[in-house]
Amino acid sequence: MGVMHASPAPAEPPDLHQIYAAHVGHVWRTLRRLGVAARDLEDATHEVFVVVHRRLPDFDPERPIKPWLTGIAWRVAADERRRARHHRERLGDDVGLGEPAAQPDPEQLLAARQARDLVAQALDTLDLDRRVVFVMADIDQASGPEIAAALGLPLNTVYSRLRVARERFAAAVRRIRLTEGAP
Amino acid sequence: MSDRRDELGLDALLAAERAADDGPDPAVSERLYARVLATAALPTPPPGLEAAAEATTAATSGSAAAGAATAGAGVAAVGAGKLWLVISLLVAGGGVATWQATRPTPAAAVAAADPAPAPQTVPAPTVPAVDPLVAPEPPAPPIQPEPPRAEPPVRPARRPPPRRVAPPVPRTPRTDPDLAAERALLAQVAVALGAGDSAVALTGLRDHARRFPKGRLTEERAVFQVRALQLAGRTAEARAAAERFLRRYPKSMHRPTVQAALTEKSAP
Repeated sequence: MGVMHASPAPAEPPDLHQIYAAHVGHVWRTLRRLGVAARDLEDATHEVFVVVHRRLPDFDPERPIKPWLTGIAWRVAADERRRARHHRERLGDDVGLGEPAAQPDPEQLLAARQARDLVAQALDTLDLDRRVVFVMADIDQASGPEIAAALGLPLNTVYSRLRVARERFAAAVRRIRLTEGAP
Repeated sequence: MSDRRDELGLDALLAAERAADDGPDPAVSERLYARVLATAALPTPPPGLEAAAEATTAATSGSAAAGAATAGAGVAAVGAGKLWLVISLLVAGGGVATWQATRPTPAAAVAAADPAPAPQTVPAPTVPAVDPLVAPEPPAPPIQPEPPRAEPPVRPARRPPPRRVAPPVPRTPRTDPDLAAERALLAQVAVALGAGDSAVALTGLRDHARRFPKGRLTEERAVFQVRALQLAGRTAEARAAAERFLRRYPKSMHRPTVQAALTEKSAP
């Protein structure tokens, strides 16, 4: 986490292994949040890091790396989605969740799990372009300008997508709770 | 927006998601890394990835320019029926710099920390982009008696300094790179204000103050400052800033805007 913003020393570009070790989890979760099915996560993560490897020389180490990685993940997820269009059961398996970290209290764990399921379902109602903005802003807590830079979008577009995404996300949560009596 | 979010408990939901630290398990992770290295060693990339990579590069390197290029358009949507629009238009214009290029630390998160009300930005019709700064007209307020900046800009100079014969000439041409940078920066602030993102707006304003302490858009910065503080719910500071503005720029064309801000109770 701290890796992304720390740039006190005029930075050497990080090497692939460092990036992988520090951020494979972020990439994995981001892909999942962008709707890549659990069974495809490994392949998609692979693709992201192959692109990272190729693009590393162009990466500006002054900039936070997570949004940059998220931008790559977004494009890989879009490719993935195009490819997966014919075998269409995207949400087949346990999309929402990998193995959660060990947590002591089973009730807490259950609640967290339900929350994450709900988030996954609600995210799934968003189209990919809004979804990525929402994930970056409201989950990764990136700033508007960071998102704009990482995705190559005008700031204004970022804000308008975010606004719509938030509305839809909230509406989806409301709807899902009504139908399921969820948390 | 924030009420509704609270009522639904969205913050808690998102916090749970944020706290997640799942990833590939160690065996998968190792295998994956080996695969990445193997693929990376191949001479030709698999098809499809190149495009993604190209696009990503464009995203990384081109974004500042893209952001600035569209700032004008963005700004048009900002004020939506408010006087702020006028000021937005004032700072709209060319320029390539965006503060993200120079900002040392990322701003606070867009959403999380920002209790600002839902942006009421309606996609506004584009307003004819008059540029009052180049037009001879606006009653140039008698601010900034200081001479045209003597010290060179912090950035590497791109071209020879303009002739310094300037007697008490009015405001200078728009080709001035500093002015362009100032405008681009404030245009971004305007976009953030329009979207209700006070954190980003305040960061941009700080950045502007740092880079252009005696810039030519300090007056506009001061107006934005009032607005940003208001948006952030810092009402007392907003009021103080407004009063300072009115004292300092007694003949400003932005007075009505700032006065209106003074009479508003809090963020709209």
